[in-house]
Amino acid sequence: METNNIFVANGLIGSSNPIHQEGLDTCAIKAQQIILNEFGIPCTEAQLVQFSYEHGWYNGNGTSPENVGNLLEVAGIHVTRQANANIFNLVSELAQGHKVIVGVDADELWHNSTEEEQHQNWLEDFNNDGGIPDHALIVAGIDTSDPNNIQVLLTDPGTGDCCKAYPLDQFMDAWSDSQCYMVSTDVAVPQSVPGMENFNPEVGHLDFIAGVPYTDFQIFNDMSYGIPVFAPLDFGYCYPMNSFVDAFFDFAHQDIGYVALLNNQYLFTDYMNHSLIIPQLVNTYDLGLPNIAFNPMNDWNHYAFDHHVGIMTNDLYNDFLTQSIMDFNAIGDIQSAMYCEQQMMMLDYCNHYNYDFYDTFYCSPMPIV
Amino acid sequence: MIIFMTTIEKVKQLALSVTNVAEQYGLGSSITDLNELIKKAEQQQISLLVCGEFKRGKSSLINAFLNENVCPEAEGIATSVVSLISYGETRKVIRHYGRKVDEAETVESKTEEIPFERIADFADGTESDIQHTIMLEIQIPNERLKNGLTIIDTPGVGSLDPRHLLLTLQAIPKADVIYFVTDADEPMGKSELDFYKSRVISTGKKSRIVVNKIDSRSRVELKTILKDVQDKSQCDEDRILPVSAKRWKEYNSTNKEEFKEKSHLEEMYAAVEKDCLAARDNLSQLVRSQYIEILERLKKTIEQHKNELSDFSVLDEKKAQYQQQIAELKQLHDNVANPDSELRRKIAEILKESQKQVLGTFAEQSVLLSSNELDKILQADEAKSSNGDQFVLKKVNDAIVELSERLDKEINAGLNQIIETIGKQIELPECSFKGVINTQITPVQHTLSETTMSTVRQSIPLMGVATLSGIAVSVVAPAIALPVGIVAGIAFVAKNIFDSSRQERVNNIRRQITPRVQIAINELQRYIQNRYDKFNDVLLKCLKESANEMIKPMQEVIESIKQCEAGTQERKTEIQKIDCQLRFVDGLIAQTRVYNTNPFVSPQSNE
Repeated sequence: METNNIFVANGLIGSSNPIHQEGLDTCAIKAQQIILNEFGIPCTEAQLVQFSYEHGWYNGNGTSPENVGNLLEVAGIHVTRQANANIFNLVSELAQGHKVIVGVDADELWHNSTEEEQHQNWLEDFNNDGGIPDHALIVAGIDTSDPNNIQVLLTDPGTGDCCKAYPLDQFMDAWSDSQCYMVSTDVAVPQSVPGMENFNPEVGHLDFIAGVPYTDFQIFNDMSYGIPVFAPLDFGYCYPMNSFVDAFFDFAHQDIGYVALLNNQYLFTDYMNHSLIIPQLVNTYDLGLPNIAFNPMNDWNHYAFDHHVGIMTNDLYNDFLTQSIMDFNAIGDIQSAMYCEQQMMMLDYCNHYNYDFYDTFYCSPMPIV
Repeated sequence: MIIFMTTIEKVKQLALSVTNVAEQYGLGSSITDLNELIKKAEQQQISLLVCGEFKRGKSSLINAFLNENVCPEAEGIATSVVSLISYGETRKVIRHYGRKVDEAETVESKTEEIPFERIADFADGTESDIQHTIMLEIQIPNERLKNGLTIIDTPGVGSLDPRHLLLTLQAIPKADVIYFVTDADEPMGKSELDFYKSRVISTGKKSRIVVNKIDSRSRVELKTILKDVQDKSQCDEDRILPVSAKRWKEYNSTNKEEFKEKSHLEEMYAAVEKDCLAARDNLSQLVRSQYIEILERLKKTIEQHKNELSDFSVLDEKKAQYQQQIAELKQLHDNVANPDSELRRKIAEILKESQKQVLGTFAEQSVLLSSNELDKILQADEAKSSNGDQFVLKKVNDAIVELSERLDKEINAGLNQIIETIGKQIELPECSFKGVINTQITPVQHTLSETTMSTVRQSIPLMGVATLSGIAVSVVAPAIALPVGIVAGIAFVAKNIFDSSRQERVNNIRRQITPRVQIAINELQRYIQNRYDKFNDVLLKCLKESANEMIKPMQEVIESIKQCEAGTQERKTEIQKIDCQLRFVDGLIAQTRVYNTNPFVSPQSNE
């Protein structure tokens, strides 16, 4: 399983420490400057501060979340702002070469090493119903080389650290204080930027994420839409999304297959909202299907005719997909095989939750565009 | 660290990444053109052309700028050639010369290298003095030119030699920046102004008016002169540059600050640097905009291709046609092959009804024949005559033949009705029923098998009539004949009772003939049954053959449907790839647009 550092952004112009913000409250501006510089726009923090001030996006007291990304848009780089995102959405953006700024509670990253600091942070979260987001930084990548210690790499204007690694849990804790708010560019950063070496511009994304084919990762990303970050218990909260992240990394490191993930040993399975997941899967199905080089000699109709079957059932489609994957691998059509594998995961999902594959994906509601 | 490339370098890098896609869509030549422009831009050659009326001190100014005597500036003699002065590691001069060969100013040009010291021999004087020199390409190891600046010295316009104007006008398009030199000693004249407006400003290139020889003027006078130049030329104040080539040269030789200040050389250097940077920036913008234009064109071409591919209407229409065809063929096959189909039930009904009707007629007529009809014949006077037997035989025979023919007609009518039904039921829009039902066919003239087979086959589309009728004939032959031989038998029997008494003879005839008539009637009944049986056999065989023959066209149509589906799938895969290409090109457009731009620079800081 290959190590996968998803993007490492570094190097800026305009200051002795090119990452460190010059103002006390210019983290969001600096984060945007870092990205603008990566797109080849030679602006300085001072220019951006002045510009933001003139446009009312900065008044000497930081930048409000809704204004983060404005500078990028002025420069012609369109962005998407998303609240209540999750780690899969974040990774999905990174995998497409997009740059991502997130809002966090800085104390939970900077002052969280001693027990006292941890207690203080917990108390703050408790008193403020989830803590206070007070800082913006760039998620430069995710290091999955040690499955037992997933690290999120942060380029932090507040500390001047470039790609500093934080444990995933710690990052999630800090990020969740902003209701998992993120601003991502709609266009990939240029190929020449460090960290883009593995980016495949012809398909518009990385081929593998944490060693998992992009097609398989899409299923996890789709599922993440229907899994809550946390859920209330009688006393306190539980974290289904954390459990789902664990499941993904178990899958990535081949400790466990996809079907086994859906068994009840993972907490997330108790909290899945299928009405949110299925439209995402349907969308992925529709986008993926044309990537399979089916022809009338190896498509479902032909298979059904040869095997004297009429109505598509989950079992029959499973046999068909199994056969297709073998055939495509045999002729070296890896892309088709991978997209068949993706359908197989959808089928496993249907089987596990007693959905009819045909009804779900052929007679489905309009896909999300 | 991020390496900030120039826009040119960036575009060059991005252009490389899109080359394959551009070539795929026939835009390879555009990328080649772009690369040419990039090449030029990379060399960073910026041409500063110095022009103006003769004796304005253009050559002196250039020499002062370069701090060496490159352009001849002899008193009273004007520059007569265009000189391109650029950087070279060693001094080198290439002379371009030639004579006018026709009225259209076509010049047969040649080149030769000349010694640097001989520049004056080919730069100043009449055309014959300079041996028809058109241009001098001069390379010198001068620091001022090291950054890619090329200075173009031109002959003064407004002189008596029209060739000077011509050479200057030919040089202007090669320039990136134009400095128009005037003289502080002489007010800007009409011809100068005309040239400036019509030949310099009209190019749209970055330009300045250089007012030379300011050393001869006081500050107050200079102010007035500059105001006059500005008013006349409508040029911005900051684009008018007062200089003194004379003081500049003095500074060059003495290094005295007073000359430096009076020469305004620093302002001149700053202006040249700024104009060259702006020209380079223009070139960069040109490269960027040309690249974006190519990408936009590429995007449009890809989108057009996608739209063409996304139009599935022809394929869908074709597929729909095939599907309709297969549905009709299937229906046809079912009608023919399935005994429970509507057609087959109808045929059976008609057959049954026809047979019932014929048998009804037969029963009625046969009873009549064996009773009333026979009585009538026997009671006739001719029957009682000596040749009565002949008469009776003839009449009975005639009656049987007449009945046979009547029954045969009814049978034919029934069978034709079936054939008509088949024709009507199986008729398809694209294969309209063209078979002609031959209602005149009788078993005497044609075999039943031939009649039925050929007619049925004509009724069913897609049948190879000739081939199949041949098979059918061999299966059903021999044909069924009318029972005419029975009547001959009656005649033979009648001869044996010829000698009896008249009444007795009649009685004898009745006794003898009645069983024979009955036999004939029985034969006739068998004939009827036989015809229907044979017809049914042939019909069934024919329908079976027809149904089998439909399989192949059905398979062909299904194959066509599969091909349509394969085409659709191939297209969808292609469209998916095109979408990736579009995203790729879109990304490049966005990246190129923003690269090296900085909308955050305030106008003040820009200054």
